[in-house]
Amino acid sequence: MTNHPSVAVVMPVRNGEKFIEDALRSIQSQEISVSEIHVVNDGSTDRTLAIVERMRAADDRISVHDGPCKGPGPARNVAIRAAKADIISFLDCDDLWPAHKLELQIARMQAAPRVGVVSGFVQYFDKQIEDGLAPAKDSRTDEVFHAHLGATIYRRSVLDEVGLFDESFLYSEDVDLMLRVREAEVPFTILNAITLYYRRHDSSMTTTVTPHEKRDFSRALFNSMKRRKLAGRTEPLAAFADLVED
Amino acid sequence: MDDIKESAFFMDTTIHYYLNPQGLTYEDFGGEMVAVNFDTGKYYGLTGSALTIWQALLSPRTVDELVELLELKYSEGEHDIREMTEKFIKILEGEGLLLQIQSPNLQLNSDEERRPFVAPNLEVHTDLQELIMLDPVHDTDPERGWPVRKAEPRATPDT
Repeated sequence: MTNHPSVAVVMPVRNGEKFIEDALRSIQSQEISVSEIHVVNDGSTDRTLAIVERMRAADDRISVHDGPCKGPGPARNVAIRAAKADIISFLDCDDLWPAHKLELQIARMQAAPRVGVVSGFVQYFDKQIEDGLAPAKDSRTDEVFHAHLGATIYRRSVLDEVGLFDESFLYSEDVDLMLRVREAEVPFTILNAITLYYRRHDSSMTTTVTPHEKRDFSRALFNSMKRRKLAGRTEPLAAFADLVED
Repeated sequence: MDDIKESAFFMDTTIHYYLNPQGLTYEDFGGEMVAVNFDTGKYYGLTGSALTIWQALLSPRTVDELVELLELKYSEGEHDIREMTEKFIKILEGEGLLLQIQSPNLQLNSDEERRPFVAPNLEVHTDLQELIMLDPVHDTDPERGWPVRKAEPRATPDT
């Protein structure tokens, strides 16, 4: 794909030394090239900054920003404000993109100029191949649709319309954004393809939901219900099943 | 509405209802409540006197006890308290949000000033059902939930 819209990648990180190099390499390895990679260092105390600076020296698409240390939503907003590209994408520092991810999603946007958001399925994995950027064959994997930002790309105009991340959220800021996108009836499609490898850590497989996480998730739903009521909207939002492409 | 009134006439007044805690979480946002059932993927908005009923149902209550509580808390509004309470209990039951138990009646009292009764209301939302069943706030076992990726089309074998 030679002519495609410019793509910026947003990556917040705090103490991500273990996996961030692989995450950045999975961006650099995309079959189409991104124009900007914005890493927001949100108070790391490990070797994260040194790793990113080393990679930046060899790739001038990478820029590093200081985060406000208020969580991933505010950190992502720093990068979104700095980005100039037509398409905004996200990748967390411990996850990976399949090599074809952007090619598939950009192609979908180019084929349907009205489509503002293209998502896809998430493959959870717990083991990575030793010499590459993909789940290992013996990794425990599941392929599902989820609200993970890294699986989805947004036209810049969509974020201009619905707003950036609500910085009052420490958790579920992605659910809040997704609800605002759907309330705005932005054309949204889900590719029947893996568009994010999401790493499951030992700790994350056993973690229980904290009261703060539950409250933020409930607040995202509450805010959505309030907005819909204020707008006089009575019909339900479309089911995700209806958005999945064949 | 008529059907509900008629069936409510036969409601067993000895049954004690209480909230089914299975998969349920709820948060009060200044007098309005959001409840999420992670097992069914449904989420609910509770408004009006629904919040009072919901909080009362943290302990087993008969419909009579709920009505008594509401009559202590509210003056008559445009809705009939008993009729609305019975209707609301049926809705909660229908959503699988209630369990039943036999237990002694409990003393009710309220020191709050009575306000005009506002009908309890339960908004039912299913638009995030798939994501909620996957548990959107942390990693969980996605085997239970939809959507899973559709299988790649297989080539038809030559015959």
